[in-house]
Amino acid sequence: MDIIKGSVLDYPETPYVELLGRSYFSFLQGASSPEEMVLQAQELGYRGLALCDLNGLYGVVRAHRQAHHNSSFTSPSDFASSAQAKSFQLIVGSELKLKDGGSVALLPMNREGYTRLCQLITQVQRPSQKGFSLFHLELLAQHSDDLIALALPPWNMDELKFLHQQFHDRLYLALWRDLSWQSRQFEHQAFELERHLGLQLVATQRPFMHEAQRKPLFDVLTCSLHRVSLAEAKTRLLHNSERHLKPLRQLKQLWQDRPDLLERTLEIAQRICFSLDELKYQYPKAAVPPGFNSSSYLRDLVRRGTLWRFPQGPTAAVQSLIDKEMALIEELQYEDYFITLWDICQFARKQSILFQGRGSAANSVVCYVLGLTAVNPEQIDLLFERFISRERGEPPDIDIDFESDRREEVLQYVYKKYGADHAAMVCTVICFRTKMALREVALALGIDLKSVGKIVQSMGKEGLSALVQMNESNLQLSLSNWGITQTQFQLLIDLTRQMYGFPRHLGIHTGGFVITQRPLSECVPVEKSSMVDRYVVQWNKDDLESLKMMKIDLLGLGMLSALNKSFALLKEKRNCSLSLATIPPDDSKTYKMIQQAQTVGVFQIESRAQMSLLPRLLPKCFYDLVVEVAIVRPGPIQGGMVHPYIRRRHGLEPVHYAHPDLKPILSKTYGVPIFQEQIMQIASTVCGFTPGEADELRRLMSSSWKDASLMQGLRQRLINGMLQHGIQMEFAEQVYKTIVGFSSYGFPESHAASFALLTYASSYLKAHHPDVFVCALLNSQPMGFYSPRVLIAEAQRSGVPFLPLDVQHSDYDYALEGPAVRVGFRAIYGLNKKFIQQLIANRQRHGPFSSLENLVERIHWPKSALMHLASSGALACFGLSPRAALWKIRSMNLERESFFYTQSPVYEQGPDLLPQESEWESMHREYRAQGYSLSSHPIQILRPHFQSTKGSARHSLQGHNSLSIKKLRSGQPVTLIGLLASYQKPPTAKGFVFLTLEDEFGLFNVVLNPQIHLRFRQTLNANPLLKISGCIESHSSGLTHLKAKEVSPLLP
Amino acid sequence: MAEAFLQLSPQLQYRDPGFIFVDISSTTRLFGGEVSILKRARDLSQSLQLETSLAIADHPSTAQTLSVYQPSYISPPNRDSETLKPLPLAALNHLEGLISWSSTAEVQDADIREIVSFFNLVGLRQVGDVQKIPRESWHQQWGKTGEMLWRKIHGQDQQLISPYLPQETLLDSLHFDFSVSLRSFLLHSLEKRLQILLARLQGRGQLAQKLRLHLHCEYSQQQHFLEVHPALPTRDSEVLMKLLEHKLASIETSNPIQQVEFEILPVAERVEQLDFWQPRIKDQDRIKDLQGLLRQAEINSGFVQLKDEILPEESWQLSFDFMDYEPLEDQVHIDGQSFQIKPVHSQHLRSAPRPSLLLPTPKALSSKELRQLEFLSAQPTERLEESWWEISRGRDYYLALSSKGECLWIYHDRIEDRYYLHGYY
Amino acid sequence: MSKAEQISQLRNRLAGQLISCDHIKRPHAISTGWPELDRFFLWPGWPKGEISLIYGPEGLGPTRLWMKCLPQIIGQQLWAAWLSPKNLRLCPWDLFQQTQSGNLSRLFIVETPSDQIKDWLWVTTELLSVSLFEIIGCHWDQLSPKPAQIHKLKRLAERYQCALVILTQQEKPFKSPLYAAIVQVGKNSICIERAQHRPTPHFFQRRLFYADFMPQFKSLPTAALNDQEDKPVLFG
Repeated sequence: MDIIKGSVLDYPETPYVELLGRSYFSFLQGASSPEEMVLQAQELGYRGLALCDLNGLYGVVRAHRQAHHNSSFTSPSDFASSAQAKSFQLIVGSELKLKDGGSVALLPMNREGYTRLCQLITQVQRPSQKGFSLFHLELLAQHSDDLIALALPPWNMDELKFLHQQFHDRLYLALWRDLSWQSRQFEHQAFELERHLGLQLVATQRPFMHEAQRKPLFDVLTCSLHRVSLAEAKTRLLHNSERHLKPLRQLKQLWQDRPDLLERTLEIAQRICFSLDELKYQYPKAAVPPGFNSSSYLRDLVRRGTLWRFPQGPTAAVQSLIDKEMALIEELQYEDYFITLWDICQFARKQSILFQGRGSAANSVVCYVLGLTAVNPEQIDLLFERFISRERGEPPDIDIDFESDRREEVLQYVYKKYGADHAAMVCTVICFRTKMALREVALALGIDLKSVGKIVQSMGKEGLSALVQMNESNLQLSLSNWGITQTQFQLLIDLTRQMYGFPRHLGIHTGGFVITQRPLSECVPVEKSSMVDRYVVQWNKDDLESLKMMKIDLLGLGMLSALNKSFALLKEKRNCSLSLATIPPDDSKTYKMIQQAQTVGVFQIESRAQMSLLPRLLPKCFYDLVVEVAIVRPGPIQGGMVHPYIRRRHGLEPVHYAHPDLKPILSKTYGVPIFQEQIMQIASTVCGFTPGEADELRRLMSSSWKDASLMQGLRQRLINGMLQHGIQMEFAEQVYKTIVGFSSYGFPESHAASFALLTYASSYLKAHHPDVFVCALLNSQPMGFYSPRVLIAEAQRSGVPFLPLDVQHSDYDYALEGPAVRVGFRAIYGLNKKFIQQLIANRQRHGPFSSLENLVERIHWPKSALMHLASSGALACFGLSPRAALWKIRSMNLERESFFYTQSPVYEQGPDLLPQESEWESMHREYRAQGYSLSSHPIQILRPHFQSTKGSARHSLQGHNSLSIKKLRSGQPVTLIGLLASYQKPPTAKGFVFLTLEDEFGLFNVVLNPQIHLRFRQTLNANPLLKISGCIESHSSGLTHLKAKEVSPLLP
Repeated sequence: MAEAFLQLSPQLQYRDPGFIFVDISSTTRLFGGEVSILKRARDLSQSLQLETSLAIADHPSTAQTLSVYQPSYISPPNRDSETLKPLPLAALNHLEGLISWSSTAEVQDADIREIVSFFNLVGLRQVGDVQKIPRESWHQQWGKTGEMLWRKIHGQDQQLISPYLPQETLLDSLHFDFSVSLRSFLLHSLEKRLQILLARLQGRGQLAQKLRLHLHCEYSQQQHFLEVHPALPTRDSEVLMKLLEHKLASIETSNPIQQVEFEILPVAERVEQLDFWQPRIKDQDRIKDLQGLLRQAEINSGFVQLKDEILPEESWQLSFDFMDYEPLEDQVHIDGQSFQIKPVHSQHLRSAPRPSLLLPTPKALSSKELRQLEFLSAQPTERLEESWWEISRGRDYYLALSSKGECLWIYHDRIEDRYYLHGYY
Repeated sequence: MSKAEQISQLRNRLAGQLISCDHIKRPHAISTGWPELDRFFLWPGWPKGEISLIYGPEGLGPTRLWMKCLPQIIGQQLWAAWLSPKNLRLCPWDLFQQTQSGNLSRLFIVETPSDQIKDWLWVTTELLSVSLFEIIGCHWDQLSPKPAQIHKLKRLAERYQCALVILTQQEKPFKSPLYAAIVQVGKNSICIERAQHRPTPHFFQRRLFYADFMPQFKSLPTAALNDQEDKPVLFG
């Protein structure tokens, strides 16, 4: 179709490509997500969209995925959009701001152009901290080939001359018409330049949002950028909402005097032929010893590994698995990937850093043989497609856990080996959560900080829904209490909802690493991260996955460092050498302890939900542990899997399968699907999915971003598959429900297996060496479910004596002194580690301290640190009560030069003036210093007071505590007092709240139904010491908990 | 307000927030002892509707603490330290006396709170316990602050109250929520406020020479000016009220009164000395005089104060004295070599063409007038949208030529879909 | 003797007293900011100590004509005053653009709420008697002063050597003989009806007046107001 010059009206549809699209990845300067921009552009019938965010390519991958989401499940109704999606061109680009306010947008024309753009951005962003950039025009001199430059106003002459020299005919001046006087002035200047210098112009809309309704949100973002409220913002805000993607008809009408500028956008788009799919990814050549190439070296490693893992030779099944895997690895050329991983693990093994591979890697025998994972293939049947599949063509995703304290050494090793140019961390985008978004919007609306605090506090843990579901009466009440009007409240809710999920800044993925053969900055820009000498790529985990780029995760796990410390203590103090591999399997004492749910501190099975399940499941062997780890997850709970499994395991229910083909898959779990692998096997055998499709089903279901049309297509395929296979409709529906319910939380069997290993190891240690185990646990805090206070109380109850903190004996860490555990200085809050090491070194060199003055003279601590030491009671060895010590330190003369150094005035009789410390006050002081008290428990002190008060007879205390209620029969009313240990409101529990309270005898569980919880929410949030009355509910397996009716604070 | 208490003794000192210290050592005998002077002070504050708490003690700091913890208590002479003994430790914060903690350099608020918290830490609860600690250890621990605190606790801190010199004008205003047309109600409410002014006059030892009233009516900004001249300068409220009643009878109150401002021109009981030298008047003074004159005649005058607002009519105002205008520009943050730009999106509105005269309230155009206009462009020259969080406004501005060739500034209100004339070029 | 010889003889005789025109010391005046008008006036601008009158409908720009003199005055740190009409407010943004320093501390503005002539006169006399302002612009809207009042103003202006410019919107205002300069702003032309020692009436093209003003508008096609084709979506 030819374009008739001038007569625009009869032109069917103006071809237009928006060349300066901006998403919210411009951090507070864009109000729409990349997906929204692409969708809107497609709906409006644009020929394409260029996403140019400020100083980076953060959102281009998400936009690319949205533009080309070709998934095998696109339902027929989607066909129209996907066909049109084919013609829609997604252009990658970035806008770089200049110091004088102008800016240049660069669009790469081909792969080399893209590389230059990435290198330029890296050069601009790497040295400067977050949000800053180093861009100046001279940088363009080396990076101007294969790039199209759009110069944005305000222009000045020498800049334009320089750009013209660099880009010649690839330079365009972008101008827009947003009904503002400024745009008219720029337009006038542009026409002048075109007439005199013959520069090429191009039309754009310079959109900051995808539709006009986003203007309020954009204003709020501008306010939070400038740290002002809307009323004070004045001309900082956009004066109208024209900066959005307009329909073609309106564009045509807007540019009716210069339609050629619209057509030029298509010309430019046609000059660009680059898409992110071209990013070929080669994994770096691993360092291979001479005489070997990658595959031969890998084959040799596997051979040696097999001998190590199977001394008496592998079984035929295992050998065939190994050969199958090796064939696939060599076909997809992933040898270098495995060798790199093996090399990293080799380094960790040399440094005796405990590590363990998990995730899909545990499905591969090669990994087991190479020592990456510790899951023996004979124990669980492996599904190699889950790890690498030919159809998917995606690199394997291996996560390796290291000791959390020593993970840094491994990271530095990788940086040194591959160089900072070839290796960088994967980024995560830190987004606005509800609380943060609400605070920003409230500040913009001019609501003062105090009322914001009140709103956030009344929101509690449920988030926005708590505010929205308020009924009319207490809404009015709280509005007056917060001092805001109804409209303000409505705006606050709408804008917070819109702002949820917007990126605030970049963070570092806990362990993700990208390693490339060519310098990394050739395929993705690299930025400086907040942590010192750490660099991060601008794409997150999902981006890399969708571009099929290889990533390895080196994660830290607290339990591994705890186990390592336990083994070290055992060797040093109890001279028995033990390691992960040499722990005796299936030890009856350990399983007995697990069955009685005494698992506080044990890995993975210490949470309340797990402990309530253990007495019912009664795990007896390793596989039971694997099931226990996997079963208490939202997936199985939502799928209604837990109860049938327990009943079938104890034979209370016959085991039946919907179809004979399911028997081999589900036989191990009594016909109940629990693991993701099982779901994939069901999908492939019963619903006719190919293994690759089954895996894409898993990845699709677990990805946080779900597209409604895709889910619809998926349901069709599943149900039809099952019907063809002869399964009745209602059962097919039931299977579909379990698959969907299962999707995002289902636990892979391989993953559960590697965790179960650690669970068993930690249970064994707790059963046989409780003191060593609790000491190691306390030394690797913070980790796990319970605070040190609960761990110590639990250990004391199981007979482990504790010695208090003492300046003469304690080290930095908790230590074993004979049978007892000596508290370490690390327990004191706010005491610098440097000072402690100084004290210990001095003590070791010059022996114990003779007196307080001698201590102060030798260790030169500042007064505040000495006060911390005194208030923790560590100076008791000098015969000083904590208060006396505090007073003496306070009055000491601490200037080193002065003659009176460490002398306190001779006539000082202050200390005997001080009143004697009561038991409650000393316990309170210890809690404030280190978070727990060895000598007494608050409930123990308060109980006599409550015993004496008459109180209502029916709910009287009758001296009940966490031990005595176990003997009571179900339904008996009782009142208990306790200190709150944990508060849980799992989303799958439909509003029920589970509390764990602690008294001097142990822990007891309390259940609150939604109404009770709503009534007592404030008391629960505000005070840790509670008095709860209700009735006992005990379960056949000996598990008892208190069904709460009334909650009141213990202390007024 | 403090002036009213001048009646009790000339030595009076006011310290914000709201503390009045009166040295009554010399004048207690005149009022018959401390108990009666305390009663008199309480009656005076009740008559002026002030809720106050009073206390008498040897030292200002002790008096202030007692007023907080034991209102209207009279501490027996030179036994201040005993009276302080039972008070809780937090009383230390109130031992400020004439000079507040924050103003003096050597004592910091934080110091006092830190000392109090340390005592709590070590288990001391009352001022009595702290008094036992010897002076040297106070000095040892907290240096000068400790020393000063010790003196205050033991009632040995000397602070002298200087005589009071009145400066503020005797001016007061009264605003009625529902405008008033009943004369008696007006008089009654005036009388209460007049009492306070007269009490202040009495405190200053002056007489009222003239009472000037300025009544604002509710409708069409009508105003009345009244002046009451007592034959002899007096402080007697009945005389003034009778004259006032007579004056009010003369004005008609069909237009109800919304606000009253009244001022008393005092005259010293003794003739004051006038100063003769007249300094040369600078330009600014001439302008100030002119503005004062115009203000008398309710004529608004002043200088242009430009503001960064989006809507044209709010973008400047007439301000009494000139204020500099720093235009709002992009903020460029520099960190070493790198920079970050925080854009100000509508800073260009300053350079947009504005008419030379603006109508304060835009005039709606009828469709007939609209047809006679000839618009310079089909597209609006500017589209301004503003304050969606209050009353959202959307205007498209156009330039138009009228039939008489006038160059007008028209805007189309997109919410009401009507055209308005806003200015002349 | 031929005429030429008489003239040369006269010139020789008067040679001592004749001076060329550029030596004439032009009387003191305030430049109007519009070069053509300055060149036309004997006094280069609004005569000081005199009263001048500008009249014509408001939209044709009498105020703009008066405001053109302000940038120069403010530039020289001199004072100017403006007496604005009841329902019109002076908009300072163009003035802000033109003054380099952007400092309008020397422009004093008075807004009178009342519409009786005696108030205006009182304010004008007050402004004059301060003897601080170089030029005072009074916009008297539709009011028309009596001759005696103008005479009083003339005496005050003369005594304080201040240029008083009166603007009014009346079609045919009272043209008192005391006015030194009268300018009428018409639809297509600006007519100088009276200027001392100058042949009047004299016409200027109004287009010239707008020469420096809004060049951008010259290029825009003037289109009749067409109805707004799509209802603009505003926070729907």
